[in-house]
Amino acid sequence: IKIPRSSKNCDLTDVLKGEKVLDVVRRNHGNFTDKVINVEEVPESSTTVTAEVEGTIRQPQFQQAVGMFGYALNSGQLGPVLQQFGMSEEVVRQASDGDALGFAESLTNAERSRAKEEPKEGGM
Amino acid sequence: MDEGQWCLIESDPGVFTDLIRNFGVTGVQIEELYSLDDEACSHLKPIHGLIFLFKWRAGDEPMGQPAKDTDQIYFAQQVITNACATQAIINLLFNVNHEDVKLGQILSDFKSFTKDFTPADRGLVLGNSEQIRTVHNSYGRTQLYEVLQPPPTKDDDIYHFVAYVPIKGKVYELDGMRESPLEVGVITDGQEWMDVVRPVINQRIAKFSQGEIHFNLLAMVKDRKMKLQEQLEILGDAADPTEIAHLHEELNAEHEKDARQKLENKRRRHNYIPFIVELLRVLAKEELLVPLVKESIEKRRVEEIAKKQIKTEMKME
Repeated sequence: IKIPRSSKNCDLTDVLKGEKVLDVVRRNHGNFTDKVINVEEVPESSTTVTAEVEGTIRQPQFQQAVGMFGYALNSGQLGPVLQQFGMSEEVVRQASDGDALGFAESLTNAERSRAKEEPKEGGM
Repeated sequence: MDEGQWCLIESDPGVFTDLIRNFGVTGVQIEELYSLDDEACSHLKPIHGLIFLFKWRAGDEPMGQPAKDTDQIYFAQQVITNACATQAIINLLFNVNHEDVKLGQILSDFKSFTKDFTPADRGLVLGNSEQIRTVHNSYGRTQLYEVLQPPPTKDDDIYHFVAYVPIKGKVYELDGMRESPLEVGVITDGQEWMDVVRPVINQRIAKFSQGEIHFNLLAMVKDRKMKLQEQLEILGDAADPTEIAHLHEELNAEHEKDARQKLENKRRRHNYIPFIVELLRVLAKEELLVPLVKESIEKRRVEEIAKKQIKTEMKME
């Protein structure tokens, strides 16, 4: 017998792909340069950090990691991981419920209030 | 990952090549073969052996007969799960007797230490070799958080690697799951060993395709850069310039492939979680996360309904 899937579940590999997401990565390029492999450690390759950042969401290795991450989110196991990344209690709670939409909404709220608190971000 | 465990390794020529280089082996590399036809693999010669990967099934009929002259074959039985990639490499490499091929310290030590052991004992020693295991495990997919591991599905594919290798005029199949090596053919005068192994593997593949079983075929070949450089030296300066240009082109292609495989191996080991978390954050900041998640939930719902409809239609038919 198959356990019915919760209607709150989403496929994160679907969410984190496509042109819209790639545009966001491009616009926020600086946020990701230290989160990809260090291409300078492969001096023979002609690739650049920019290319690596922009290519990441299409890489099978990344997509596999997203698959695991999404599985953990849907099964309510992502809370501790998000806590390590300093996410708010509400975000962690929603993720621990396995509620992908609730997680997305509370993360959006958190980012909104963070933007208000730091109006001069990057200005100083 | 528990101490003493061996992780699964992706059957990819880049991973295998890097794995054997990190064991300290020189003079060989691993290439994927898409066909066993002579034209398709002649440029890779000498081919020292083949590693055939397939989905394992219990009760697979052996193709060949138990080898008689086992004292001239190095064969280790598989005692530990998931080590079969390294197991197949070792069973293959230890039977290669070629001036180009140097095993390096780690494997030479292992080979001489286990020389007089039974196949089962060799497997046990391999399972307990920390040095070999450490290199092997550095190619496993990063398992950062235990919780992120989806449970294995019921037919979680059990892939298995076996080696085919020519030894003193005969071709053997070395499968760590069997009791002993299998002799699959005799190399007659004027024949190359690949001619002997080709029908054996093709027959095996034919059996698989009926059941749509996945397989792939890797070849342990002479280090390509080494081979091309030797060819250039032999030709000398007096040779046909187009031929020299062609060899340089091939050499460049090998260097590029090396770099590409190194990048891919780095990505395999990379921790993408910080990237994913940051991506979710910026998507949230730009008010895109909620609509994207809603879209995915809706898509899944529609797919579920479609699946149910197909099932009902099938029942009605």
